[in-house]
Amino acid sequence: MSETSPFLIGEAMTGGYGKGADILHSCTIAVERGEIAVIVGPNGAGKSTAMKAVFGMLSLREGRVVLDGDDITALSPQDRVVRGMGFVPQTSNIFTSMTVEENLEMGAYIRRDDFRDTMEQVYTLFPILKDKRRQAAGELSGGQRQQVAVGRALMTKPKVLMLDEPTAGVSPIVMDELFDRIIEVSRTGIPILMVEQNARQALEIADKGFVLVQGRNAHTGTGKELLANADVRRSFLGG
Amino acid sequence: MDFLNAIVAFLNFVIVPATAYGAQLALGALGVTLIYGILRFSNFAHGDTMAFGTMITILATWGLQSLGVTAGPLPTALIALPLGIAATAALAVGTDKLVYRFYRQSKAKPVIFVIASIGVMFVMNGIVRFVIGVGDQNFADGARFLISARDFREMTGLDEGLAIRTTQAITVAVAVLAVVALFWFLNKTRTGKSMRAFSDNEDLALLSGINPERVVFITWLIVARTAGIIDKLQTLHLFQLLMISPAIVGERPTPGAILKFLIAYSEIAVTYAFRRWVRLYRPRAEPRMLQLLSTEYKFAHQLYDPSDRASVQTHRDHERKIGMNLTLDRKAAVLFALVAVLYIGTGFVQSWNTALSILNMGLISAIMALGVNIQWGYAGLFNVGVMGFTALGGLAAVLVASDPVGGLGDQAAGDPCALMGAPPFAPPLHFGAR
Ligand SMILES: Nc1ncnc2c1ncn2[C@@H]1O[C@H](COP(=O)(O)OP(=O)(O)OP(=O)(O)O)[C@@H](O)[C@H]1O
Ligand SMILES: [Mg+2]
Repeated sequence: MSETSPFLIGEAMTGGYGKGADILHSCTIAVERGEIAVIVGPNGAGKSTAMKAVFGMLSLREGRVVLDGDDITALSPQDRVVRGMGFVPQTSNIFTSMTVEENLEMGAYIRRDDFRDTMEQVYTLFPILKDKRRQAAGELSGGQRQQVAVGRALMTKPKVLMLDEPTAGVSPIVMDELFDRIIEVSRTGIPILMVEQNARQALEIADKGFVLVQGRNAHTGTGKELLANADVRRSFLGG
Repeated sequence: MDFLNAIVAFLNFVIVPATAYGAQLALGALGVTLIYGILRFSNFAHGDTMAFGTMITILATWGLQSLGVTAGPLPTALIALPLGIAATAALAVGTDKLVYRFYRQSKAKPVIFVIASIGVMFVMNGIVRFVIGVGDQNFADGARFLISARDFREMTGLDEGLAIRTTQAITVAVAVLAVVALFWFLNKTRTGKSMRAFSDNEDLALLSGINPERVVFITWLIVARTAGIIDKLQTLHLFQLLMISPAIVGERPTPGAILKFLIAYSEIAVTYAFRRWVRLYRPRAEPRMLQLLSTEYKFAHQLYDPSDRASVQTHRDHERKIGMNLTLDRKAAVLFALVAVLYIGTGFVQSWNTALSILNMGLISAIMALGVNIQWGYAGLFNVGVMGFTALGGLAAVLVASDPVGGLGDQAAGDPCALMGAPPFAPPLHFGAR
């Protein structure tokens, strides 16, 4: 349990879906305590796959996942939730037929204590959700849905939050706001590991960045380093 | 006075039995839609699960009766019911552990589940047959009527009587209670909400720490609870048939169950009128006539099911995309007319009995053709598997045809028919002399 090792790390992960070909090839992603780590890369690079692998949603052929010093490679996703991991997947990340409030309640499913405080915190973070709390989540706009999704994941009071493209499909203004909210969450001490399509903006707020290409680590460094790297700029940031 | 008499007669012969029958259907439909919504397959074995529960209830009732235990004016079966429910729950959960869990863990496709459930259906069917048989079992006791026809006549001075059986009243009361309790459970409790969440988005439910095995377990328990409340074994086969359709189309428990309830009304209303007619004019044709009407209803039901909003939507989208329409051109009209002439000719020249069975077969084929049509229209696919279903239809038709009058109690015809959705049995008519 050394203090210098990352809080959450998927280390040298190799694996794919079911019996199919490997999609990840010795891929490593990690996040340190109190930091924001961002994963960028072209479509189909395996970013979502890497996130799922860290969350135990596909079985690894090689490599391991370590959370706070414990090897959790063999744990099921539910057990990882209990261990304090929260995950917002890229797609179908809300319960569309249930109300906003029920979505948050389901987020808190594993908690047996009173979670009204946490719900209030989520409502403070995303005030629009409070107005819409009796509405079916499926009836919300794309940006509002993303807020529900993040709110749901926050309900467990996770020790680490994993977000797969939280700003997908939202307008630039809402995107800026979401980034602000994410920074706010990270300030409360929750490490955040996220995949982002808006690479430049994401790397600006990132402490650590990972560039994946075809299931492999292409570049790794601090956000600033990657933004300054000519190679990365040319291939991923449009010059 | 005639007007009042007419209303009472209608109440007595249609509304009361249809309400009791509809309540049963609604209960059954609730169970099946729950399985469909949460476990994501159409459970063919549901009817036989219910038969098993009923069997245990009957056996327990007999046991209690022989011990001299009764519930006074209420049927003894009411005391035995909890046992029936417990046994059904054990059976359902046990079956899940033995059969379905394996497929769930290997993430099998829904069709595999359906086929597995057909296997389960045969096994359970075998158990029930072996233990108790499939005929009517008499275990009713307590006060037979809440109001008997004679009491009603004396009370009101009307010519027509209104009889309400205790079992009918209890069935309705239990059904209402069960539905209310279920809705409360699903909408207000943490466990109920987790089941809805699981049904809505299974992967996300997992990510929220909802344990799928627990959801499955509770689903089966509830299903077992709704499955214990039937007064006749014979009813069950109809259950099998009717419940499969809402299970296939219905997403949520509500619309399917309520729709079935309405259908029970119309079905009884329609068959009753014809039953009278048939009994007076063509006594020997009665069973087939009823069977025919049921087929017909099924046909209409498949053509357009208002509860199937999703499919209506896809249909509309599809229509817009490729400009498809329901067509009836002149050639088809001539064909239909020709068939009608041949059919009526057969009736006059040979016998109406034969004509009825021909029409029945014709309708069965039409349902099949409709299935192929829909599949071709939507998926552009000729499905060879439909031939298998047609073969089953043929088998069912032979089974039904070979036993024209006594066929009502014969279960052998039931299961193949269940496979293709053609009811071989008359609805359990609670009225009139049997
Ligand atoms: N459920 C799945 N089963 C099989 N293969 C999959 C599955 N999901 C993704 N893949 C494959 O894995 C590869 C990587 O996909 P992944 O979703 O991880 O990409 P990504 O980097 O997240 O892309 P995007 O930026 O478009 O979200 C792709 O080639 C994809 O076809
Ligand atoms: Mg992705």
